[in-house]
Amino acid sequence: MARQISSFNPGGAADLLKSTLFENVGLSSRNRLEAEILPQTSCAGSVEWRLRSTGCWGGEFLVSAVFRRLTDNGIDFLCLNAQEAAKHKK
Amino acid sequence: MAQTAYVDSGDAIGEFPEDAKKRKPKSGLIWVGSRRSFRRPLRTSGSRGDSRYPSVKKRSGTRPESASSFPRFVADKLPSEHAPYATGADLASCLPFSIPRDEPQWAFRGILVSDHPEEVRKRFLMAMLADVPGLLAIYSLPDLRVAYLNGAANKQF
Repeated sequence: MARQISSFNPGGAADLLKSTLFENVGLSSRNRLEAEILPQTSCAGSVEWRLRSTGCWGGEFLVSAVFRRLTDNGIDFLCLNAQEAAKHKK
Repeated sequence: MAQTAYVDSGDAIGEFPEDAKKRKPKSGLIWVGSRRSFRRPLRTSGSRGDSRYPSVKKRSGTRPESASSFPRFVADKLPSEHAPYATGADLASCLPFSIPRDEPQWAFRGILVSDHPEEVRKRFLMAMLADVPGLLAIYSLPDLRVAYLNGAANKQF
């Protein structure tokens, strides 16, 4: 069973509605987000990736994420559904 | 005239409960108990010509065949005079992500009545999105600013 994300914004301390996707993605995944994930989502409509997300306090955790491009009333959106990935074996 | 949305994500196929139909609630969202036998196709026989609504077959463990043809928000498929009922499974097939089938806690059901169709659309969508497991974020394009975040982002641990 997929695990719930446990450390994105504990206690609702941060106003995440002022943030952007890049602020929610770990440093190590930002290049891949820009170079691969977003272009693929734009072309294919939907992609699934594992990437490092970052909480509002800076902690990073691995998530399994599905990106989809949506259109609602002529406005484009990007939808992210992420669940914390199981711990990887080293 | 008030619009009504009946929603359920149960797997069982059955008749829509008469008591729920007769309830005639005031405007707002009312969560129905644990009954899991609701079933009603999105498209009724009288709306065959309306291509906005999928033809939903009885479920046999698979998602409706038409799911892939609905990449848009579920709000687009919300009730109209042509399709006053929808199961959660029907609506979920329109959601912008896959239903986690191994997530038994994820279930949405309810009755929503409003004199304002737009309110039905928005409140219904929000109620559904709030129940999605994990983080659900919707970003506006092209600036990628957060437009919606579900409750998972703010959980206390």
